[in-house]
Amino acid sequence: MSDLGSFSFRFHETTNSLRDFDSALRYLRQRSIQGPDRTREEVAHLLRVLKPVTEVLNGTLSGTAIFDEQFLVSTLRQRSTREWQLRRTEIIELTQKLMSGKYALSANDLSILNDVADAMGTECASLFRRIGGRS
Amino acid sequence: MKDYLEAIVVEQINRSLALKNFIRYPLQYSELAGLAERCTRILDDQIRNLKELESMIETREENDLRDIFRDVRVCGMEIALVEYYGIPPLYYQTPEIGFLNRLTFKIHGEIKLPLPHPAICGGSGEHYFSHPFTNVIFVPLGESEFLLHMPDLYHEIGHYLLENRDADLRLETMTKAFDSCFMAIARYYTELMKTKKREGAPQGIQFAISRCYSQWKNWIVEFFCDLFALYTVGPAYAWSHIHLTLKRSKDIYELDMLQNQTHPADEARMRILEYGLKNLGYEAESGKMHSKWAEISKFWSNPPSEYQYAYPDSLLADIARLSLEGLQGSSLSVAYPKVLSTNTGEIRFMLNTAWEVFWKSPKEFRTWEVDQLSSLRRSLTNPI
Repeated sequence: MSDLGSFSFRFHETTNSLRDFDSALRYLRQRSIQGPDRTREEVAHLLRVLKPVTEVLNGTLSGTAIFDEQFLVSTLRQRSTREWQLRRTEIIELTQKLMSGKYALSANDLSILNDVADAMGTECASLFRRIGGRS
Repeated sequence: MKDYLEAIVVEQINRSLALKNFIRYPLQYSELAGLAERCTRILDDQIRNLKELESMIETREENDLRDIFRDVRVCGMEIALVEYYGIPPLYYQTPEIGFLNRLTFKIHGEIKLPLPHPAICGGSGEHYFSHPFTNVIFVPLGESEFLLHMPDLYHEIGHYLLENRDADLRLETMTKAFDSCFMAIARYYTELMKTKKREGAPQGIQFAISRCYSQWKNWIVEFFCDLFALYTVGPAYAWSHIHLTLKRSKDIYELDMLQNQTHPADEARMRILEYGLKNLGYEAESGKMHSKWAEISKFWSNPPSEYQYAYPDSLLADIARLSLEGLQGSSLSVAYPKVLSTNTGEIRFMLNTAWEVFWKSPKEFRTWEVDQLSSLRRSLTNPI
């Protein structure tokens, strides 16, 4: 496959992850949570992205084959409106919080999740440019 | 901003509706029916998504639109991809498109692919590539007039299969094999990193290991598709790889330490194909290819020092073995020597014979090739 095919493959995987992530974000910001199973399922969509990002932030090799978490971290770093070390710690803490089953999200948590989703959106746009978008 | 986003939503809905009208019914070639259905479904899904977003916009504050902004953009990009990579074969429906789709349909049956067949379209500007969203394989315009690179079609079918691996339970073994490959990679690099850290290796080496590991996310897909092609079409795929390398490779030891490298180095691809050939039982072919590769590799310089971390032999051997196990367990027809020993009219028999004829008499090959293609076109137009 040419580079074009490879970028298309990545684009498809990343948009799917972003859609799931955004859908989970919308679900969790609602006040009316619809049962533990659904909530766990939605949180799993968030963690599929947050865990590898956190692994990179912790300096370990991530075990995911889905998207480029190195790219996400570098975008998050470039775009961070807050002091990066603080944001870095907040992302790690939010991941740990969700992994430990605490699902109530503060306004800052939602802002972190939106930052991560924006970084994924940037990756989608970057891949799209390579597969036929404007150059 | 709410008004502007709403206007973009309406614009994209109209574009989707317009694109649906570019699908020309009745279809000239029944093999395109799957693609027509897929494009229609994707566009209808986008219209539904956009309408949902439209109603969400109404309920939101001006400063609470970030997720909607992202979704509207993704919808727009996906609609554009259907326009670029799905609609053209359905709009043009030329005799070449008809021939290529009938050919793919026949290959699909021969290798017992447990999925609907992918569609195919000429006019690629980048050799062969597969578009996973629309499931269309693109090939250069003149490709239907030649045989030596046709085995690359099987590599693209591998991409299609990998992309749709969750769609059929018969592919479960293959999916597990692919996951096992990735786990083997993660294990290898985690262990290597630990060892190097313990030895107090310089930061540069640790960086190289981490970069190589990161690149494997792309490479594993390509290696897997190389092996899929080899295991379903046979040695012809490895010859085709050598042929393309000689004509196009920038550097057979390519290793980019800074940017994403979508494809593994051609040298490593050849090495894994040799493992694959041996796994299938093509010892003699493997030997011949090894000699030919040794001849052509002299045209390039030596590998960079980090190369030692990029493509370890043990990992390549594991991946070649795991991939074959995955395909065997997924009811695909594997191109063992016995399968290719007699002419049963399969395309893969013709493609392997093509390489034998090419090596035996390269100068007379074209006459043979034209004759074969002409028979193939006749048989696909008027199947018995």
